[in-house]
Amino acid sequence: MREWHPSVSAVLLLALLLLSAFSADPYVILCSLAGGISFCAITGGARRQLKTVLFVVAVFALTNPLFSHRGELVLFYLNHNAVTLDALYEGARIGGMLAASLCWFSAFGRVLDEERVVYLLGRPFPKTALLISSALRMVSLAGPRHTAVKEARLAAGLKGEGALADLRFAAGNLSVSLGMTLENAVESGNSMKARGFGLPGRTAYGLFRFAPADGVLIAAVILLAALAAAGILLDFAPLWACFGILCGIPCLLEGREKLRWRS
Amino acid sequence: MEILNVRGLSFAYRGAQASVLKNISFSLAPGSFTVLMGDSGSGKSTLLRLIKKELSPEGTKKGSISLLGKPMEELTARESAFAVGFVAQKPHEQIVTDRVWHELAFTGESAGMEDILLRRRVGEIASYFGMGEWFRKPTEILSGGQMQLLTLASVMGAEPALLLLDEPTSRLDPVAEGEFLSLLERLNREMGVTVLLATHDPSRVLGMADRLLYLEEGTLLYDGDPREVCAAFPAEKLAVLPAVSRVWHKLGKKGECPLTLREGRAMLANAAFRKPSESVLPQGEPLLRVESLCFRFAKESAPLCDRLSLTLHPGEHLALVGGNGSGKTTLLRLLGGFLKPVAGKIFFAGKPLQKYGGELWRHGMAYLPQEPAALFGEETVGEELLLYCKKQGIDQSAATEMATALGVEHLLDRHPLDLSGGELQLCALARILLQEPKVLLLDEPTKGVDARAAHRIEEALHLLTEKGTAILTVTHDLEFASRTAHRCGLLFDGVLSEPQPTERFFCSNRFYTTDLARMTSGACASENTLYQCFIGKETHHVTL
Repeated sequence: MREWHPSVSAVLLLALLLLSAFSADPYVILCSLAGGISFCAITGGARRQLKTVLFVVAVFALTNPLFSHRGELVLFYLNHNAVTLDALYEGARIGGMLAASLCWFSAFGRVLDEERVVYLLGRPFPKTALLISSALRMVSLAGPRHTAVKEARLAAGLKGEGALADLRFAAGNLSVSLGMTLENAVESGNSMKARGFGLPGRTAYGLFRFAPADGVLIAAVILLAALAAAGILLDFAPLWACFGILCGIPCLLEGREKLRWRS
Repeated sequence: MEILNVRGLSFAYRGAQASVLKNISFSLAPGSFTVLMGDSGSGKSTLLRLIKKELSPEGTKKGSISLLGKPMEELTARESAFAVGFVAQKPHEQIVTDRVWHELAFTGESAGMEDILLRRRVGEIASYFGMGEWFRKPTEILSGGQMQLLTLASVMGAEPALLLLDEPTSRLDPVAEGEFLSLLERLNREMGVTVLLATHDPSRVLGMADRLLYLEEGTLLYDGDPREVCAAFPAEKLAVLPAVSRVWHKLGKKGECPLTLREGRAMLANAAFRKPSESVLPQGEPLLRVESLCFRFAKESAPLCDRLSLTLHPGEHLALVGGNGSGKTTLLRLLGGFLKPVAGKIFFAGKPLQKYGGELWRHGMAYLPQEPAALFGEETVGEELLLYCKKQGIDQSAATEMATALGVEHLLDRHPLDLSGGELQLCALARILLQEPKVLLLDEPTKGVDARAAHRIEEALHLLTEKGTAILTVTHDLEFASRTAHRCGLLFDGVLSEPQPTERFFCSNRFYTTDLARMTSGACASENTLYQCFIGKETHHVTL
């Protein structure tokens, strides 16, 4: 879904996750699983996903009867406890719910890369986004710097013998690299000030642009999700169709792009 | 109207008695390109930071600074932030965000540019600076040169009228330096940006400049046309000039003083040189022997060492030159035993490296890291030196003696982070020489160091080799290598070309070589040989 604004993917993912997580209805679960697995098939990695789904469903289906003994149809007795078909079915259902959510997550994880996630998180709070960005920058510098300090001090014979000396050596390394980091931070602060940071009316550059089509799609997704939610809450079957359509949207969007780019 | 007008400026830092700047007056015309020269501690940085209001240090200021015809005090925060751009020395410290595009947009964002304008401006600058390729990349993967270009590009986002640059290329390799400066020249010529660039290595930049300011101990000693100022330099201060102009001085000042390599080549076009005598190379049982060393960080990644072999004899200084990313630092880390080779052997004093079990320093291997600040954990330089003496049971007078030998005894009471780049390098050298090393590994010992400090480092290294210490330096400072090393090798793509005697190495190199070798078309590589081998035939009278 690279052709669409990241918020489209985010709204879709949120709607699908919420609806799948709050409904234990077999129709909803099956729809969700079918949509999720086909979406994975299109973005690549369906086989692994299928394995995960089967594994999760199997684990829940097989373990639930150990804890729950309700139900009419007793299959057999294990340690004087009834293993019932209902408990097996119940377990499979819970497993299905979880597996469907996992499917959506992993598929969207491939669509929403780091850049898009940071963009989405930062859009409403540009200051926080800048903070995160500079924190990431600091972290990426800190690791190699610490290694360099450790090696320099090791080669300079500053490490003594014994556990206490090891501890003292590690503390020394930390203090030196922290000192260098602070020194660095002062200069980085200067560099920000010199480029007018802190003046009122700061704007934010975003890599992605929101087009009218994105808005239409988001509105449609929200409408479908609301109808599906109403159907699930009121137990009104015809509206469940909306959920089916919703589950198909990611495949549709991704499939269209896939067709366009097939070689 | 002048862009910048400085009148009678004096400045002393808060709490300090002595003035860092004394009665400085000059003004810059729009579109001019001015080089500000001076050693570390001459007040260059202070002057530039006083002009940039946001970075002004605290202290007592006398005199006036006016920008764009307005006294500095009357400028609004917006005017001073965006009319004056500032680029500092250390590339990685000026990059604030984790993505190239974000850094590029930073200044425009601060200026509150509307989405459409911001998008266009960022696009324009990325295109002008040729950054399309790495626009979406994380900033951590950039090289030093790319980082400095990014900082410059970001600063340009708000269309500054005046660019202040504080030694912007002193930490870059020669190739990155050339790239940065030619872009700067383009900005100056095409966009009319006024440039004030502080440097202690003017060899690449004087040809672009139309004005040269020379600061010495806070006083503006020279101010004028670069050619005239260089020609007027007294004999005892020639070390700070570019090699081209220095040679002109030493060869009898015929014609006009050359500033660029092109003019230098013209000056020596008809000169004849006798063949330099081959220097005697130190021999003896190698202290360090490397046999087909291979290294890479991951199975699929590019090799940083590819069947690399070398030997290092007692009393020998071997310099390995190469650009950023050629695997120089990695090689030193391998030799220091910090990384495990994929294949190959390293012998130190005849024994395989791993036999020393992480105690290499005890057996006489010392390592000067790229960031010498890493060696200092104590409050003062002196305490750090004494700490080692105490630990090893050496007499404490050794610390003072070592400091005196390297000429840093006056710095013993200072905090390590308050020192200039050159001072810190010398102090770090004093510290690791307390280990009385047999083999010394140096990582870029002249990075960010002015001519005077570089000279002191060279002298110290020379004394060491005379006493039998073996030195292995990795550097991109070719002039330094040509003056100090016995042998040199080129490291590229993890492959080391067979090291050769320095003079022969630089004379036979065509692209990656010293200014002197270029000027003499490969007849002499360093100044000493040039003066020795110059037969005295007519030098060409350059008419410019």
